Amino acid sequence: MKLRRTQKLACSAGMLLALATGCGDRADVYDASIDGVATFGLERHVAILDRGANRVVLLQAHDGQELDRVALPVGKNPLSAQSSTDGKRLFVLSAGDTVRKKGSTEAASLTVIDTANGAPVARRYELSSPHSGIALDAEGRWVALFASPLAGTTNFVENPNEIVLIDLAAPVAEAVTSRTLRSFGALPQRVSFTPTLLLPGGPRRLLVVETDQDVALLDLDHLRSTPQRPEITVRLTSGSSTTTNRPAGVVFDDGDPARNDDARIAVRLSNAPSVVTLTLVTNTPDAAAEDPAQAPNDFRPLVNLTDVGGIAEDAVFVQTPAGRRLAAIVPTAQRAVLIDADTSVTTPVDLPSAFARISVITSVVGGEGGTDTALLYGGPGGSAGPSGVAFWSLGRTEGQPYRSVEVVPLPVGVLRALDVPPPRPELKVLQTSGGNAFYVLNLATRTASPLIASGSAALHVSPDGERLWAYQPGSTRLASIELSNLHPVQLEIEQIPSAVFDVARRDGGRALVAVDTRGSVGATVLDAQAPDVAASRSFYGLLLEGLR
Amino acid sequence: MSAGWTTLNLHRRRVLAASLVLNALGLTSARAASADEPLPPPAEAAPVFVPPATPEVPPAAPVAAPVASSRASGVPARAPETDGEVPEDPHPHAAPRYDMLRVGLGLRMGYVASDGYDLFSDDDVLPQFSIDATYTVFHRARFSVAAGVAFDIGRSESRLRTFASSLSAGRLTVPIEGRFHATPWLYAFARVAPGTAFYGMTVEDSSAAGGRLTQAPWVFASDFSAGASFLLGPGRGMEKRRVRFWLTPEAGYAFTATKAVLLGADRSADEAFGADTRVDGGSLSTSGFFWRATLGLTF
Repeated sequence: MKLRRTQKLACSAGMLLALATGCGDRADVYDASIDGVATFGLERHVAILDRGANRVVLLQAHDGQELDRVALPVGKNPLSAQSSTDGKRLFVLSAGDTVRKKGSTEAASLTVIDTANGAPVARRYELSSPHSGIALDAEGRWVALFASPLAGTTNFVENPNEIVLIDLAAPVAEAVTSRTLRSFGALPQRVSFTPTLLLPGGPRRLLVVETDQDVALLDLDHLRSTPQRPEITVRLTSGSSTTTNRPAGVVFDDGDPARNDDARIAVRLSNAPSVVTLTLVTNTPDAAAEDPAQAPNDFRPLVNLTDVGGIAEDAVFVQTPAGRRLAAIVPTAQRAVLIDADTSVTTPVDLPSAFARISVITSVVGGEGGTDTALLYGGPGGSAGPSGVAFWSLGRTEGQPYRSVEVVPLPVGVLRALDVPPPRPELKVLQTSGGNAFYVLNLATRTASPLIASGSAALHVSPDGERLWAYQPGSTRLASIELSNLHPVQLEIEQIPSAVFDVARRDGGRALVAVDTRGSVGATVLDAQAPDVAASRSFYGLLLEGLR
Repeated sequence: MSAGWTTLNLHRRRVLAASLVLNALGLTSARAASADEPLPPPAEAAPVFVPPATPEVPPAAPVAAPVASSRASGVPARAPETDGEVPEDPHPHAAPRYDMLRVGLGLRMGYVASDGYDLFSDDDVLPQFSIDATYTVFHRARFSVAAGVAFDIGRSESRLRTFASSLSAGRLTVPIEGRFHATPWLYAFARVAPGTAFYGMTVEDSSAAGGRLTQAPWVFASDFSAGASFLLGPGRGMEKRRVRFWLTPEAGYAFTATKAVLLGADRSADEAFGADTRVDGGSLSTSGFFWRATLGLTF
């Protein structure tokens, strides 16, 4: 009897212990899947967006091909991310908890990871609702969030005309401003920030929202003014037709620096053979806002619709002997059209091939008599264009204005022209449709040096302008090409890079970080300035670290 | 003669007092005396049954015959053969043997709070299979000390961010166990078991050369525990060596030195094109409270 009682006690104690030791589940992050990994090259870091773990892993190279790994939390459920053009900041847009409950639910947010001052710092801006599209100000002050037409809707009901503007120069508590654009049934497609334009009311920066049928302008310098200033909606659709004109892109021009009434915004249309030019002039004295609670803007757009004879695939403001003109490239007509925005007079210029893209290169090669020189390349819609590129001098040649087009023939069409940063801005790297060949175009000498790859090659230009990296997606092949002499160095690494980044090392020098997104993400680090696989270092399981 | 009798009387008084205490506890005095006091050989023990000559010793009650010590031989002494003038012991119980060889097989459940363990387990529980063998190296009265060797081996499997991960955790220790035999069928014990622990860590990860990340370190370890052993049977003939079965619940604290989790590619350094860097998984220690249930066999 005594034995039985004791045995029962022992069994009970054991069960209690078992219960006590059964607790202690680990954090959910250990079970988070690794998918949708996105990588970004910053100035000194490589950033890996780890969506499953709601964090960004930052890699910083230093001596010995070592990598410091730091994880920074971002808002829950990251939707998209984008790095700034200067490579100092990364912006991560998160939806937060889609199902909000009492307690510790998290709102949508924008996390800004700033690496400008060495150690990465994260700032988070809370949003009242999630958004999927990010537009960054090239000058680094503004971020616009909107409902990207490319992303699925995360909300049950969404207002696509709500634009959230974040002023990165303001304190976090005051930085977020939400505006709903007046809508005529349109949905925003793209959002752009103008450079500083000299307007009648003074220097201004504008937000330009392209919807699928109109364009809206918002004065950023009076975003939080009281009374509020309304946005200006420019309807591109003729009131006499149900056909909607869809914007395809905008370009800006401040005009004559001495004038405040010649700043212009040009809008290409994707479904009409026209270009719309908006000249921003002084508002009429009797102008009034439709909403009495608002104050009128001190500028207004003068709209000018110009027929260019075909769909303009690209446009840019250029300086000609006759003054500032909008150059619209119309590949279907195999010509460029110069538009005088003041008079709507057009000057067609026949091109030797159906080029679709134009890039002003005057800062590199100069121009005759203060006029511009442009590079023509590529085909419509990002496709491979004509076989070669062309230099278009917008000065007067032998009495014929704008007719000087010099073609550099290539055996294949050009898909993209990659800029090379200083000290070699005279170079451009041409990616071709074949993929096996790419060219280094010297704008100064107007020569194109071919580089032939044994397979389709992806390209990365080093931010210091010294090297070009080529790698073959899905293979371990990698090559470094010195842009000073175009000498390729063949490298075979162990990991399969899905992206490579040439970044500044913490201790000076540069490192190549080849990121392999298979598995839990690995990386191979090479000395970018003296690449040697034997001195390389391989990293594995980058997204398995720092989970606690 | 006088001095010899005095010594003998002192001895008798001790035996008598111990017998009374043990009788009060419901145990036989024979068991108590068996390992308590050194006694003369059986042949010389007979005089204790002779009525004392000195008046301070009370008349001899029908006290059980003291049993010769088994400490030296390990064999319990038998009651002395007596002729007809010595009354026969009404409870002819012999002292149980505590000098046993014990082999145990059991289940051990450890509670591991270390961050590094989260890489290999959904919870904090580390189950292990235990086997140990001990032998009584010293015993006195109802106390004994045993020492031996113990081995615990267990494995935890999980998925780390969808990649299969596993931890094999073993402990090879030298248990030193102090026992108090409260009854023949129950003894309580306290145990310290210094030794070493080893881990075999694996994560199947296609980002790594060889497709997996591994590490297999050894660290210092020690267990501190207490428990009790219950005799399941057979309960007869405790004075004899026989195979007996025991159930032993035990709880305690396991100390294991902390080791950095640095998982490396499953290959030698010579195979790498350059150099491999290990994955920093934090640190691992399987220190924590544990309990163990063991089925023991003694011989």
